[in-house]
Amino acid sequence: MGRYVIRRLIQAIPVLLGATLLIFCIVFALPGDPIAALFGDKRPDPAIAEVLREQYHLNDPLLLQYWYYISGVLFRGDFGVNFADVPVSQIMAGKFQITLNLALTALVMEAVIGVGLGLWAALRRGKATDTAILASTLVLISVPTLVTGFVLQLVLGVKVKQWTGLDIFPVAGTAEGLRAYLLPGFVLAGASIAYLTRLTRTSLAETLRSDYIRTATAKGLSRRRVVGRHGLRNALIPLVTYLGADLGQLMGGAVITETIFNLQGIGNQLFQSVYLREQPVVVGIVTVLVLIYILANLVVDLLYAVLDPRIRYE
Amino acid sequence: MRVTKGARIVAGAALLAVAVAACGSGASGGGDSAGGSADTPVRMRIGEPQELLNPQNTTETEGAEVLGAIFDPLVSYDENKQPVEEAAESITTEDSKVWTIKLKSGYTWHDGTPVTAADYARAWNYAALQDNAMSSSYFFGRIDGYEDVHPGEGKTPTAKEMKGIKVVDDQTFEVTLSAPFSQFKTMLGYTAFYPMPESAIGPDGKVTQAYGEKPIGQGLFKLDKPYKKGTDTTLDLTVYDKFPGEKPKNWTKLQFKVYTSSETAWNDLQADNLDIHDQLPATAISTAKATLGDRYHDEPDAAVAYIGVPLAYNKEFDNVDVRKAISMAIDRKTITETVFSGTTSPADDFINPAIPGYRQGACTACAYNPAEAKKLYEAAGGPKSIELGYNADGGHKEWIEAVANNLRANLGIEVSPTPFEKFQGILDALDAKEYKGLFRMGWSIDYPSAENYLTPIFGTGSIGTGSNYGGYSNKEFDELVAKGDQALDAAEGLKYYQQADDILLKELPYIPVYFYRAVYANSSKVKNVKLNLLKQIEWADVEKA
Amino acid sequence: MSNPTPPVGPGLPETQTMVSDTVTAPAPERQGRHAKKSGKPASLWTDAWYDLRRRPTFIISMIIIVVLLVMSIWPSLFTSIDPFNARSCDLATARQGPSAGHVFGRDNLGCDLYARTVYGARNSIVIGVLTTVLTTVIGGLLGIIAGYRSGIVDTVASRITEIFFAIPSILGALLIAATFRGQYNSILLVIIALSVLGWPMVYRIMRAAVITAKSQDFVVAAKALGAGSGRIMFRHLLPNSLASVIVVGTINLGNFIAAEAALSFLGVGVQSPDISWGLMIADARNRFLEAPLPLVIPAVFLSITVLAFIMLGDAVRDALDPKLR
Repeated sequence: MGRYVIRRLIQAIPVLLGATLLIFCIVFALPGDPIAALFGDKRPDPAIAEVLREQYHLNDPLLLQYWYYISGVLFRGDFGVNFADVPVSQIMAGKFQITLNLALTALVMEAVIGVGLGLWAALRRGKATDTAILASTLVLISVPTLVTGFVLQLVLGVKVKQWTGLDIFPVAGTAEGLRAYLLPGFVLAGASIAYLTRLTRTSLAETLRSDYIRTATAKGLSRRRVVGRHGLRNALIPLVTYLGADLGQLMGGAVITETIFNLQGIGNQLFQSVYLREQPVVVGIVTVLVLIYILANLVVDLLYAVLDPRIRYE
Repeated sequence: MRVTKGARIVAGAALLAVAVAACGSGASGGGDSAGGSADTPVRMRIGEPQELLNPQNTTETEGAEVLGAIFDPLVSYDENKQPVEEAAESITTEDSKVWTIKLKSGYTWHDGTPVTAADYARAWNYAALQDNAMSSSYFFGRIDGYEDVHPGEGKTPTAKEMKGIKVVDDQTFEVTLSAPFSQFKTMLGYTAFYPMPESAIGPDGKVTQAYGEKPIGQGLFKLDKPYKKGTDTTLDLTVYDKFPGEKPKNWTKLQFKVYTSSETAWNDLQADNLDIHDQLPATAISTAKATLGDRYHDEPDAAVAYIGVPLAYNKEFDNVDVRKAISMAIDRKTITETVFSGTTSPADDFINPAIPGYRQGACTACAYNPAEAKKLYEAAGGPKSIELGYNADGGHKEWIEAVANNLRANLGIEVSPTPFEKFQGILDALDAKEYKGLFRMGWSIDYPSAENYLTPIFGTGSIGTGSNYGGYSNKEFDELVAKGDQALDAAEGLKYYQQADDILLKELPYIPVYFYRAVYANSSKVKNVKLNLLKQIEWADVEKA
Repeated sequence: MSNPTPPVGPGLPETQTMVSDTVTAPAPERQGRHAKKSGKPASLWTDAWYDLRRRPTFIISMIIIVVLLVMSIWPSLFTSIDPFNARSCDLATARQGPSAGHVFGRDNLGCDLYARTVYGARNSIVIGVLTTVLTTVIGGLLGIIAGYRSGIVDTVASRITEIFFAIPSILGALLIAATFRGQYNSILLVIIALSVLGWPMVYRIMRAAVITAKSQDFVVAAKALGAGSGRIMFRHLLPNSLASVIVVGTINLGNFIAAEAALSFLGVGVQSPDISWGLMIADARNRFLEAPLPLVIPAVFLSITVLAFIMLGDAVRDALDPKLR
């Protein structure tokens, strides 16, 4: 097990280096001078721009710049500073918190709603409920976040408050604490809820057809006990792995949701930094996201062994 | 100065605003709802300052707002928009070239040490020195010896200090300009001219990170703790006891709340979770007007938006009638009312109404006249298709599209709005001869003088180094401005500046489109909220209701 | 057992908009109504077609798609207003509600909303189709080579794919589109940005399918008879692996259309004067509360379009590959 983890981590190194270098190259190629971006509508004084460029190593060749950057990250855990001398780690810390809150809210919703609906559909397989649930998952998958975001914001956030006077779902921002994440969390979770519903349905339905379930039923166990103890437990494996891997996805894919609901998370930050040409911030955020992706995958594979005793890692 | 309109700077049209937030939550951030107590802070909206809080490196409005509370300028502006001594005892000159500045006594830094003339010399020399890469360095370009400390790209400074700045004694210093400039005193209210304490400079000769996070000022407020940019969402300040000037009557704590969306801030103001909002979004105007009464303020703001003409790059616009026709084809009134909901007003001069020297209706070619425009355009043989460049990061798309529609419909020509990533992109493309179309341009003053609408944008000397991006050059104009600069008093100077303005109105090197307006509001918990000419709040006047 | 391949699919690395449940759904063996006779592709396709024709989701989605195709080829059939003509816009009437001649009212610049929405269909369809073709060709080719060759080629290709997978695709596309913005035609740029991060998914599907097909008797037989690599790959492996790729492709098409809207919304997608639903949504958002229609109308069109393609993909999957149901 330990050796397996170490091997996986070693394998992750080229992926991490490759992904950061790729991003570094793209960011390096970003048109427009990051220094000029600091000056807004004014033409930067060429002399000053030159001094700044020197200060931030912008005149060095790409690979040397990459080396400055990656050595800082790897050996000192230092993500550098942006062009206003603010440490990138300081910028990222607060933003990651918000995105993490959002992603976790989405994950919980996914687990509760997705598994619940899937369970319901599986037990009513072929009936009207099943069809209705399947149809609604199709809609949930199809309607883009962009649309669900705005529509729910208008209907649940604004109209409900106008009609009932109750402020249930804050419309934007995070001033209300965790409650503020409910609506954006659902919007972000949308498609995942649908996938999880379908996954639960198929997974459970398949388990329920297997021999040991038939045996359990034949033994005279109650249906509740059969589904709960035997069926669900075995159907759980793919669900847990799906959820594990999805956390990284939710964090990296939240930019639209964050933009619509004005949450100052990493998606939003990255988007702004792309515009401001803040290369260190862009690369820093993507590096952390890649790390999360790699770790999430590792954890999922390990979870596997925990859930299914037949799987052993050497 | 750059206008950092809150969220606008951040990221283009898409991030522009969460319109919906205007209707958002009501009850947030409770706890300090009891008004009137001296301990609850007065809360004001700001956008995130772009740089660390160093006055010499701050040329955008949000950081300047914060620094304006921490520092006290040499001059402030009276009701007639004229500079009056503030931290200075007197500012005198005989020839508009050598200026003697005497400081008021009694000013101390927030750490208790007295403020001296050397602190001013230190700040100005630091800002001007090329190696320090301070964004405000150009403000000192008129001081004798600037070339020695700021020789330009690729050259090494031959001196560390400008020979034009001489400290006479603790309270007095003398500034010699390289040429007479009658408006010098007006400039001194700006952020770049604040003093710098000795402790700001670290052992490496540069301003320290600690100073940038918690600047030590000599003004009305001191910062309670260092500001961690990117993490902190408020900046808390307390009145500095030993401040010699006027203090607020019934309160001592000030809080700047950092917002990324001016709609969210507007929402908070309505819920009394915010006391001062200095940039109401266009979406809030109708509600604000209807519900706030005298807590709603609408005043001219000193910024102007133009359509820039690349005179030096494109012969097609040489004929003044072409420019006039384009100007007359723009329906400024509908644009300011519909696109901006009245947060701007139609431009009718090159000088903004907020500044002395503005003349209403001076720009006759700015009046909407589609029929005449078409006739003029055809007679002058204007180009059949034109490009209209704008920077996509500033929320300009909608009005540029509206102007494009005006030109298409009224002149019968093809117009392609061309987004550029950054404003700088337009300039680079012009220089590289890749682009030769019209372009959107905005100007917010660096100091409140009519001269600031002329020299930096249209002076021959501002081509290349300044902001004369179109490359307009007119000898007569340059001479009139120079005469204004050399005048011995501001009023006489203004006369020449207006004559120079007349030339612009005749030749339309740029096409003025709209004037910005300062549309701001305050909560019911405070009163007497006023913006000064630099768009900063006069804190001493603000009272808790 | 060492380093097992998780049965739930290889790591689920796509962002929300690009997730396809073909990848994520487990593959329980289920005897379909039309059990396919393996080894005879012709009967698979016939069988699938027979199955498809009877599915209501297929019929509904095809009707919508045909209408959309006609709309994108001849938008003037649907509206008499030309949204590219400035005279059709009147700023003074901005944000007016529905009226005679303007069924959905006007947008923030006083242009007819319905006409703009109709003309916006073309870019969405073009981007969806071309991106799908591009990702399928790139991902499919690499997948077939990696799956067939295995060994070092496979390892290198899979590592590279991993790199692309690790970058969140909407952020990656945002970055690419922002980088080359203005240098290329904005529609082409969207296609490239989406393709660069979209092909690895097809690669994985193709590779897995090829690895399965490779060990089947007819491939082994072809090899034994001395068939060259190219012949084996394209004559034997490709047709037998095509079904799953087609399924992913159809579902992806809908996702790419949604992704285009997202990029345009973020300001790096389609640029004015071209019209796109995402762009319309972005332009309408400031005044969303005063005037919801300019945002809601393109949003509805967008949703229906994506829904149609995903429904089609769903139906095609069920018909072609009952195992994946």
